Amino acid sequence: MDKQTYDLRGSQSLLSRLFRFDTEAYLHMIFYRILIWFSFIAAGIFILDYFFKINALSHAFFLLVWIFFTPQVLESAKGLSVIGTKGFVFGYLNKSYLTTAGKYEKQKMNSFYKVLPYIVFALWISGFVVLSFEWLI
Amino acid sequence: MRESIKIAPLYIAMIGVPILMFLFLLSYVFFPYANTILMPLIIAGLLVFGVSGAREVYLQKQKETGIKLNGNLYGKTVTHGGVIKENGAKHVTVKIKRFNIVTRKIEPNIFKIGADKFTTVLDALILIKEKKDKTLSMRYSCRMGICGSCGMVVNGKPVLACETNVLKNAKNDEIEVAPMQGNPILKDLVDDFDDFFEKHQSINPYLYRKNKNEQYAAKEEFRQTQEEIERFLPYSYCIMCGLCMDACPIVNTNPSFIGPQALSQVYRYKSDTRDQKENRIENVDVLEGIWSCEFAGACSKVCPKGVDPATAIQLLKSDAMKNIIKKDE
Ligand code: SF4
Ligand code: FES
Repeated sequence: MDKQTYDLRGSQSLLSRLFRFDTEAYLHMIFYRILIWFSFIAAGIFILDYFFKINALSHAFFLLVWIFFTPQVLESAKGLSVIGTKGFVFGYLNKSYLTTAGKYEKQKMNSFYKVLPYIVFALWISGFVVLSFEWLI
Repeated sequence: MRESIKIAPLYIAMIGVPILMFLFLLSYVFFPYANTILMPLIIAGLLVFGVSGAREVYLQKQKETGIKLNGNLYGKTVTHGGVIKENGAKHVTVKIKRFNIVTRKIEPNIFKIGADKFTTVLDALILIKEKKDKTLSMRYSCRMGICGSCGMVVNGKPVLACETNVLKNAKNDEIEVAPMQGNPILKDLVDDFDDFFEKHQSINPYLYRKNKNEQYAAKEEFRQTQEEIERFLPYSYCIMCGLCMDACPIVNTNPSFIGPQALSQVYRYKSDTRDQKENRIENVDVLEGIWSCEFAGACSKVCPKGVDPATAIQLLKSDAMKNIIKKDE
């Protein structure tokens, strides 16, 4: 008799499982999914703006795209830190390994990589604030 | 690897668009005319992003397998009565969301047990099986976090049942146990690992030597320095419990993604100086390989052994990029 299995995988709704144990990953994934569809609309609005000068609408969409990109930007910066330190910063490597292997790592660079995502994040948010002031206020 | 679609433009757009947006901001403030160049580039980037992202979602949809739950995740509640009294134990309600092979639905069964401060979820399940419901199925072996058999989802988080304390995790004296969904389910809390092992096997998870005598009848040992060992050590701790696969949002939504466990093992073997297998990175440098990973990082957070598959995958991506640059030079 064939083995009968029950496969739940394959539905985007399963992303919500993350919410119960990893909110950061949940937000990252949800924003990314929204961004995929939103980027079509935004690109359309920008094209229209190019010809018909619908400034207020295109500015609002630009700022929304900016918001939806935020988790991607932060996670990409974290990814860079993870790569640069081989998982010593923002990684989840085995704790006893981290204490014994720490001596082979470039400690100086580690502190730079620890703050890198926060610097990128601060720059990204300041960009949003500057544009918001410029366009909306 | 099954599909050989090279790096999606999505990843270039993902990095490019934010950079362009930032340049746009600078140009907006200092050089107003640069906008005319940057804006079309941003539009093009967003379109590429949208098209590639939509394609990815479409591919995932296309590859959906198995039967859908049709939103009825909870089924009807069946309560088994009685309270087990144990010395000094607190009463805890264990809600087991088990897959019923007859109705082909996940249905919650409620059991009341006594748990003391040492009781693990696995102890609770064994107790329920012995005293309350002999039909309850779960997989376990070592009971000490070594064999990787008892992976399940407790209060929404993928964990090893034998390493999860009942009282520490009970909320209002209730704890919820469910099967992992990152693999097909066989019965109750038992997952089918065929797909998991197929993916693991596909990356050739063993040390390979070009000289077959060295591989099967080595006359001398292959010495490594401490530093060489440290390069792959944490990645070799994998006990194949499948928790990372269950936590991974991409595995959950796209079963054809090879997944964090197999990819962490690609990094483990490619970093080992004793291994001589070529193209380990090239084989996973495809859409269903490293490039499906969106760096959610959930896999690493649930790994009970500190293997950190997310780090391994990002390092593989960086190595794949370096390979491309090297080839172009
Ligand atoms: S990488 Fe960690 S979570 Fe994944 S199978 Fe191995 S031990 Fe389990
Ligand atoms: S029973 Fe072996 S890891 Fe839990």
